[in-house]
Amino acid sequence: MGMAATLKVGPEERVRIRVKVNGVWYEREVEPRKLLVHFLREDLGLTSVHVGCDTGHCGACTVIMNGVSVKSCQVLAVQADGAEILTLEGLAKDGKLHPIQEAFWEKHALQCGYCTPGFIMETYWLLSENPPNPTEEEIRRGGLSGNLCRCTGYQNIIEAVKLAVQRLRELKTMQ
Amino acid sequence: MYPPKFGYIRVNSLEEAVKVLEADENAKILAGGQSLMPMLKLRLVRPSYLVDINRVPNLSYISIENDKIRIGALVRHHQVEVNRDLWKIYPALPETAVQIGDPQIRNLGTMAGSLAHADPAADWPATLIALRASVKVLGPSGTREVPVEDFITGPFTTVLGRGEVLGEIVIPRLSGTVKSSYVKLERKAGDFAVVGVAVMLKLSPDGSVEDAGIGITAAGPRPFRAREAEKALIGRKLTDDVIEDAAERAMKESSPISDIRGSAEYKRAMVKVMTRRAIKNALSR
Ligand SMILES: Cc1cc2nc3c(=O)[nH]c(=O)nc-3n(C[C@H](O)[C@H](O)[C@H](O)COP(=O)(O)OP(=O)(O)OC[C@H]3O[C@@H](n4cnc5c(N)ncnc54)[C@H](O)[C@@H]3O)c2cc1C
Ligand code: FES
Ligand code: FES
Repeated sequence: MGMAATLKVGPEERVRIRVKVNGVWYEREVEPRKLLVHFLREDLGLTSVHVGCDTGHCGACTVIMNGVSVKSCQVLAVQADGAEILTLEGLAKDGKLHPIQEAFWEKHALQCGYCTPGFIMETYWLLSENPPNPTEEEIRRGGLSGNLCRCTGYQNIIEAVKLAVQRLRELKTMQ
Repeated sequence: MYPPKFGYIRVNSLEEAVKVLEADENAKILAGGQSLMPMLKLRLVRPSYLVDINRVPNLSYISIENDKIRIGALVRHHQVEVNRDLWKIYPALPETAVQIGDPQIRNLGTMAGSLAHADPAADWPATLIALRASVKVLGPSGTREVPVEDFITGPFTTVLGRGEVLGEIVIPRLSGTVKSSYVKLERKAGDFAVVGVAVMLKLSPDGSVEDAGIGITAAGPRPFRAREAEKALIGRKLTDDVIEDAAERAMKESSPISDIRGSAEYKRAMVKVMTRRAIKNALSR
């Protein structure tokens, strides 16, 4: 990739993109109008990436793109050409859940689970952005305000994020 | 929802974008995409081509100089939010950024895109008007600078002509004691403003106001500068009566419409409250 030269694709044409998802490079042809969420779900089969509202409000489609959280229903697949994407499928390592996943499990931070992958990916970004110790206000306002849950009432989700913060801090001091 | 069919052009410079837009009036810039993507899905716009500027090098700068701050066309809301120098110089800027949408929106959305989109309830215009900012516009016949106040001419309408793109935002830096604040009334976290008021105050050593800027959003067909309210502050010491007078005038200068976020009457009353709060908040810094 690098400094790619100008790229021009007509409305009826397809464009070849290369995207590194969960550590693996994929090459596919897509229509310019294809959304990243559809690319991840339909072309790559990564069905943790949910479509909730499709209008940029609910955060169910949240993934990490080049280190920042984005709503993948608000991004074109062709924009991800050359990018690194992380989805929920890429979090567990060697059959062991990520500490954020464990915290969601232990704190019972989900009911139907539809919103969960989005919440976990947004938490992943929040904790990479603000490692020290986000306050509850920072978790609610600055962290998870772009993710909606229709089941839990949020309380257990906040508890899970706090537990994840603690676990990640412990892991760091152990290293 | 799938967006309608369009072509895609990825450019390496804004000059190249200008050429494409000049040759094809139905082509549209793609910046953060956080307003454009919903518009496409709803078929409110049907561009022939999207001109992606996200790979243009060196457009993500926040350049803090002695007499001005320059903000590149690809600076995301989040970059402003976490910039420590801006929290010191003009806290109204990061304070505006943190109140836009939610973290994911702020990771991609740009200040320039927000101005070009010209939503009458957008947050940036209020603050940039209060700070007397202008935008640098690049076009087929060169560069021009337009005050933000004049840049937005109505709902979703700007002075951008065929082939023109917004290159950077320029915010003058005043010397001396300068305070600023942006106050937004919202119904729920991440929503657009019911009304939003930004204030900039330059104080003389005796505490009276040497210069004042007040920008208001969501209270008219376009964000505006409350000139009468500014006049009520300049040359005065900020007693409660003076602040009240300015807030009252700001309310009279506003012309909100009734919509899902409130009735016109309610919003007018809130312009007054938010103006008062913004002045007091700025002063307390
Ligand atoms: C859920 C949600 C909540 C939001 N909440 C808020 C909020 O509370 N307050 C608020 O102010 N905004 C809000 N927004 C809008 C957000 O701030 C957008 O980021 C912003 O309006 C547009 O910036 P963008 O970079 O995403 O532009 P894009 O979506 O890429 O473009 C928007 C328009 O501007 C044009 N454009 C972009 N850049 C340029 C340029 N350099 N030169 C010429 N034309 C250009 C495009 O062609 C397009 O017409 C919200 C959006 C969403 C989806
Ligand atoms: S599906 Fe993307 S934000 Fe709701
Ligand atoms: S657990 Fe059902 S939407 Fe959150």
